[in-house]
Amino acid sequence: MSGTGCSDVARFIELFCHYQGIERERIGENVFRFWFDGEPVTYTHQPDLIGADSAEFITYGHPVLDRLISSARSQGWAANLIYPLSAKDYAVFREKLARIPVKGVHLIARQPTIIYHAKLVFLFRLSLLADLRKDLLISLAADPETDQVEIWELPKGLCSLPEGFRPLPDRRRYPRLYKEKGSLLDTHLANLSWFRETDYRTFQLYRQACLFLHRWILESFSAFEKEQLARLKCEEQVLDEYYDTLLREEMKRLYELLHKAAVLEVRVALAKTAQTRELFNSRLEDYRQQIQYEKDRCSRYGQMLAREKSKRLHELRRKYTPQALVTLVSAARVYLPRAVFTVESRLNECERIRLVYDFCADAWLDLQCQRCERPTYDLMITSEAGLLCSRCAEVCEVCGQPTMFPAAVCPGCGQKICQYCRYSCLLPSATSSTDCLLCCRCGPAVCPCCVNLLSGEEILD
Amino acid sequence: MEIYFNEVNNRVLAKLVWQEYSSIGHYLLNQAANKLSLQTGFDRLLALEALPEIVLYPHQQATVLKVLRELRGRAVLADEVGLGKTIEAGIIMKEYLLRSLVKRILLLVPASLVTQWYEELVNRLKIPFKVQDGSVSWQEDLLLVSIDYAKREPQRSKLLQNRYDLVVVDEAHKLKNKSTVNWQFVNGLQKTFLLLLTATPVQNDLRELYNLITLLKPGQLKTFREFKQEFVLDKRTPKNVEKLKNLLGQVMVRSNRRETLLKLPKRVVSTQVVQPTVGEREFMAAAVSGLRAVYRQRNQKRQTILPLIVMAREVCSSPQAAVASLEQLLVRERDLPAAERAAIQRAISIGSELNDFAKLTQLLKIARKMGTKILVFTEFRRTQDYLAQRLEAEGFNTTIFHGGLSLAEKDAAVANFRQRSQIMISTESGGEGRNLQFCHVLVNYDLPWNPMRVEQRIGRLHRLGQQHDVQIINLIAANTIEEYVLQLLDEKLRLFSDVVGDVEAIIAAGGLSLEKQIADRFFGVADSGAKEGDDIVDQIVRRISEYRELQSFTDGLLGVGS
Repeated sequence: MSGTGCSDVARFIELFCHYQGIERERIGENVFRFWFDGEPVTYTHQPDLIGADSAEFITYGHPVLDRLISSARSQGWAANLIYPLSAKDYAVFREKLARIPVKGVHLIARQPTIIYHAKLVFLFRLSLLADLRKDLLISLAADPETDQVEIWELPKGLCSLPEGFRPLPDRRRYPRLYKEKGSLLDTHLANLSWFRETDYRTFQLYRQACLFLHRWILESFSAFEKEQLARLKCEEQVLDEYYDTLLREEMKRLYELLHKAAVLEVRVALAKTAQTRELFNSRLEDYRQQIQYEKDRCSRYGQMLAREKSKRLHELRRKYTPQALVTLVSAARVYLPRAVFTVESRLNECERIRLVYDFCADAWLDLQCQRCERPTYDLMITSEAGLLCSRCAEVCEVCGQPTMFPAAVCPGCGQKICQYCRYSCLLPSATSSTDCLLCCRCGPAVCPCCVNLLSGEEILD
Repeated sequence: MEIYFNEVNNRVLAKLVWQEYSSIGHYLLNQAANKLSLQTGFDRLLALEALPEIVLYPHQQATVLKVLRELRGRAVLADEVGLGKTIEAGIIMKEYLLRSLVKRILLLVPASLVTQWYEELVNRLKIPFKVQDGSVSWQEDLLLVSIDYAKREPQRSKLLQNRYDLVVVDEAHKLKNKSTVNWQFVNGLQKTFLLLLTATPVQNDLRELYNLITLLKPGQLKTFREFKQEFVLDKRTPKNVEKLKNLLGQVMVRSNRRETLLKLPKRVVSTQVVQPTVGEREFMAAAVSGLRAVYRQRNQKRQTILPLIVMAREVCSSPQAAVASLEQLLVRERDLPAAERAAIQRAISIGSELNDFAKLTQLLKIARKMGTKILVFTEFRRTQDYLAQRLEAEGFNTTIFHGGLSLAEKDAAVANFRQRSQIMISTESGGEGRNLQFCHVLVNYDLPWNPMRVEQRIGRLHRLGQQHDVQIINLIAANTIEEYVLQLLDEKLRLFSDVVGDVEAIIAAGGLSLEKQIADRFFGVADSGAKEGDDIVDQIVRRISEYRELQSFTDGLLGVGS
């Protein structure tokens, strides 16, 4: 064996031996007795070992490989998995946290709380069947909070959930998204009444995953379906044409006879004497008999052709009709650690944003720009405890913080300033302070009120 | 698209609901196992990975992929004789089975080929077919049946009721006539995929081709009347050839020998005539005079002479091969005349003591002079053993290879020859499919009397992948029957220097055998057989020429090699 196939088989056997606690070089007789119905043979997938006594290749279709695969497939259908938060992951997070400008003048970050977020992961095997077969595995994750389903690969570093860990019941935050139904899917779900009655929430999530998959298959494989149907249509046309022509060719004689009979009928009608009429009548009778015979023959032939055609059409449809078979290979509850904390404005405690960090994905989650309301991946927290995307955020050139409101330009130095960096006029007059658009650096020197005040001049209204 | 949700999903859901969780190891292993058993498109052939001992030639691989990918499982495999239609069809079957696209296969072959197919399928391709000889259920998924048996009632009705995923018909030129029971029977079968195997899809009339294609894909060539109008000038002359080629290309695959073996190196044939030693001459003379009477007697009584022909070949091969058989003959033939008995006893005594052989001496000279790897062929195991023993004694690292070795032993023998030995001594049997291209010198220690064997021997080395010109050295003892055999095989039939398709199939089709004629001459009864022998040679030559003509006609029609 060589190429991809060989390395796939090798990897699988490595994994099999690893998880079964078998050292590949020392596959003992007792193990073989257990796994392989007692064949004490040293199997190998490494070609360089050929020639060793009683060694044999494991290949595709090899009975031992088949047994290994079926053994592996008969276990591990469901799992409860967790991504344990490591010190390394937490350090990365702390580093990221330190980079958020929450330690500035106006913002306070609360201590993050670590929570474990649950996902229900379904691994489906999708088999596309027509005159060829293509299989693929698709892993879907359903979020119990939102009922959202997405294509999601299991992250590395998961382990089994320790005994005694009991997660809290999941809550749905938003209404369900998928409404469409497929008839075969309905039947499938209807057959799962035991499941619905036992664990309604999990059933709902499974249903959502099935609906998602249904829609995904239709969208993703529409080209495949079209191609198959086009082939079918093309071949059906050839068949139709062939059998129609066969029948037409067979009926040619009948048409000739009908034509001749029609001519004779005219002759009979136009016969000048009784004798010629009699003669034509007798010929006509002959033709009629022949026509009847031909009709019967063609009818039998037509029936035979119809039977054959139907058989051929049936074969074609079996061959080309595209089908998809969805098999649930395994399912797992996966618990992923997340850090949740809030950032609030020191000046206004009502202004706060909730931040969620996913350790597993090493990313911030659900960030949405509060101005354009589009999802964002930047973390631009304004001095008012708002969250902006890089397109909407303007940065105060004095304090360096993004600002929620449009920045003003200091007439003194021409820099963009946020509302917190505006100069506060020394006079307690609301009018004068709001009119004053100076930055805190230029203010004392430039503000007319303050200049007058500081120079001891009277301030006029 | 119809989307089915498998009801086996229940078992996984049940585990989830009842919280019967597995460890992550089993969970990941399950995923890996499922990933391994995924069926991808036909981008690679799983069958070849499942059968590492099978190495396909490029044209065979191309044919298999074309049938799977483009022709979608309905095709006429029309490769020239000897280019491996059987293995191509086998790999296609295996591929479909491995991918679960096919579950039920019906294989229809001529009665004479049932055993050959069975061995090929079960031993080589590891497909557990059952031969239907009346004792097997008609509901078997993998059924191998003789077409002549299958087409008769009540078998016919039983087969017509079944639905097959794949039907394969070997020697499909027997379906060339639409009005025959064969054609009607295959047409009546319910099948999704259909493979028709024939090297001669058209022999005498283009109608044969039409019938074959219509069986495969009705309407491909429209109705016969339309086909005739559009494509037929007269019985064997097509018109609108390009269009016809295009239509045929959609359902038919053909490779010809000229094209596929184009890259093969030359064959350099040389004959080394050696003078037999006195002992050898005496041994042969004694053996011939002892056996002649028995041979004549059996010939007259029309009894089987096959054992005597084998014995004659053994005598020609080496005394070691013949002595045991001669001893057995003495035991069996109790009423043998005293003179003959004495002659055979003398032959035995000379043969047992003989230690000096002209051909062996010459072989040693060749081996020393060439210094490269040499493949020595002999017909008999005893000769093989003796040669191995003598060559080893002379300091040559020698490997033996014969049909009696197990698969692993054969692997080891080939590996040993590749890595260590200079000489491999092989019999013809059991060598098929082994790649020995790393060697390019072949020595025929004895000559096969059967022309079919010649190509089998040379084909071990003269095949795709051979980098050097292949040297074929025939060792001939002067003034013996071997000179006549060489004259027939090399000069008349040119079997050593020309590649003539599958000689076996060509000659076997006519039921022609040269062995008896050679034996007649060997035992001195050649006067009666000489002319007949020459006739047979002429017949074989004619048959090869007809075969070539038909192949080039078919190539022209199908646009192969143009």
